[in-house]
Amino acid sequence: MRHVKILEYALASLLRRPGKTAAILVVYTLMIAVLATVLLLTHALKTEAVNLLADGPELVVQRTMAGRHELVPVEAARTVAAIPGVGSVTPRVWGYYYDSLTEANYTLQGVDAADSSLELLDGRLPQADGECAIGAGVAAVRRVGLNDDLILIDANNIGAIFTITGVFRAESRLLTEDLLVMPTESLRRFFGMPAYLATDLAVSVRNPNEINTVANKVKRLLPDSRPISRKELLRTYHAVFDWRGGMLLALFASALLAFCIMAWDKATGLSAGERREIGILKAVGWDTADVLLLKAWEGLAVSLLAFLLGFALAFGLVFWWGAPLLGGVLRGWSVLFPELRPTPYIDLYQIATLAFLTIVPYVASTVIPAWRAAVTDPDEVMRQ
Amino acid sequence: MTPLISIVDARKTYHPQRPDAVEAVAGISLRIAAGEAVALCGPSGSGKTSLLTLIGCMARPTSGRVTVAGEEVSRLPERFLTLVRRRTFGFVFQQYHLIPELSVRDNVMLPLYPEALGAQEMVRRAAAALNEVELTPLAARRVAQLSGGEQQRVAIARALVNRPQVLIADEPTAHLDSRLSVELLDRLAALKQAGLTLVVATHDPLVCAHPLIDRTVRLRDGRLDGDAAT
Ligand SMILES: Nc1ncnc2c1ncn2[C@@H]1O[C@H](COP(=O)(O)OP(=O)(O)OP(=O)(O)O)[C@@H](O)[C@H]1O
Ligand SMILES: [Mg+2]
Repeated sequence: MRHVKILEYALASLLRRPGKTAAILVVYTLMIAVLATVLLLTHALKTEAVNLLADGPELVVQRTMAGRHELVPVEAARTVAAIPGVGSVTPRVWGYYYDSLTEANYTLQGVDAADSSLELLDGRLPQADGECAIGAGVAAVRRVGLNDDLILIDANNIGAIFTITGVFRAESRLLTEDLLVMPTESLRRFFGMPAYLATDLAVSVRNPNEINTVANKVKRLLPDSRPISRKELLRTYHAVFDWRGGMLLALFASALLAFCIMAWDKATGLSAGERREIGILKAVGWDTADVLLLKAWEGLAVSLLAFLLGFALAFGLVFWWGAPLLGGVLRGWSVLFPELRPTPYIDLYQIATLAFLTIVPYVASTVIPAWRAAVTDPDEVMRQ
Repeated sequence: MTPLISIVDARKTYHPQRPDAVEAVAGISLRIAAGEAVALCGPSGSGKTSLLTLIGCMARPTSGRVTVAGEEVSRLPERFLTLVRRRTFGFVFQQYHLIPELSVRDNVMLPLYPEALGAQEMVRRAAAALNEVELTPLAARRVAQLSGGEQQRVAIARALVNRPQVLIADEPTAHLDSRLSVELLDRLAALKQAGLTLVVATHDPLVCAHPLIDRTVRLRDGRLDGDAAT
């Protein structure tokens, strides 16, 4: 009962100072929003990467020469297929294309190289020479759609015309956004890639526990190869996103610190009115604990509201509006990076951490200075 | 008969460690019976307010004993001192000390928050106290909009809202003209009639000479200067 009454009083006194309360609320909300956006986005991108790679091959075999990625001979597929435990080996043809018209990089894949998530197709997969399917990002920057023609410059610097038979509409567009798919033979011709070479080999392994063993055998049989397992790929993704998220977080942590110092400053410099009010409350019979409770409720009300607003804002930004500002920083270089709409999730642990790191310091910075004012004897208030 | 309040050789020194230490109360012994009306009179700076804070448990004496209703309070920890003060005493400060942005009713309710009462009970008690000082029509007004005399009545209502045994008033006529002073003294007389103990600090001869006052205690330089029944 006492708590409820004092909480009521705390809310009333916040409303008595609407300007000050609103100012703190706005700054605080924005800070939480930014912080939460980074957290949510980092987590979402990692999750996306996991989902994405789940459809990819368990093992990819590349060839390296002088430390660089090289084309791999198609016949190497037979060597790999002979390793016990290997299911299937598919030579994949894919590469990058810089479109000077839109100043964007596309990823070009032969249909065999494209993974199973390509089922999510509006239209159909390309079947004949001169046909292609494109990701939503490509469609947007080139302003083309289903059944339109698309002209690309091939390896001989000659314009090639493709009819668009399909546009990807993947749920998450992390991978398909900048994608352009065509029959493998067409892509070879487009790239000028000889028939005995492929970009890499996609290897399926029957028993997931044997992936490392298979990778080691591949390395032994083909010394110039570099087998990459899905797990390793995931780790790299995670590391990259973590690193970027960490950078941003470090940045915002310093902003947070600045905010706390500001809050501390504001609070330690209790306004004369607030100090007087504390004195009066003590004089009319409030205990020091009552005054502290009042200040704690005040701080808690402000910071909790700001936290909820800020988190909701971040949630909306990340999951509905695709994180327009921060997203770019986290995702990296790709111009055609998908306008990301990750699946909304709620991670209680994450929320609790963020809440703890923001609410506790704020409440402390409200209560501690009030405490200093509240422990003085109330007779002080009688002479002012 | 045991007195309601008993003070034995109380001293109060402000910032005793510093060179400008002031002994505002320099060894005073005083007994106040329940239902009595006592006036503390004396020139400015004689220690009236300081003595009031000791009587009303607003501060602890530097040395000496203060006993309220048989319980020695001068050594009580702060929490319990606060409790005794809230339950036993009502204060009307010289400067009233109201919160100007709050309404009359909210100001009067301030002492009730720590009492863990229901909202209805709080409103009921505040209404009763406001009724006692005839402020019911102004209950919703903000204190900042009231005249000085009205503000004092708010302060009295706030002092009464916890139904104290003792009403303490510091210079209650300092900001009032003679008509309002008489009105105030009548009000205090009525409260005394109802059984309240009164302790009033003043240098206003009108108050000291008023028939409601049973006893006048004269102070000079923090000491008693004669304790005579009027
Ligand atoms: N908080 C304080 N710190 C230092 N000195 C104080 C403090 N409070 C009172 N004093 C000093 O103690 C002495 C007594 O003060 P007190 O306020 O009790 O007198 P008073 O009789 O109430 O005077 P007045 O009639 O002017 O209100 C004064 O000399 C005053 O300066
Ligand atoms: Mg005084």
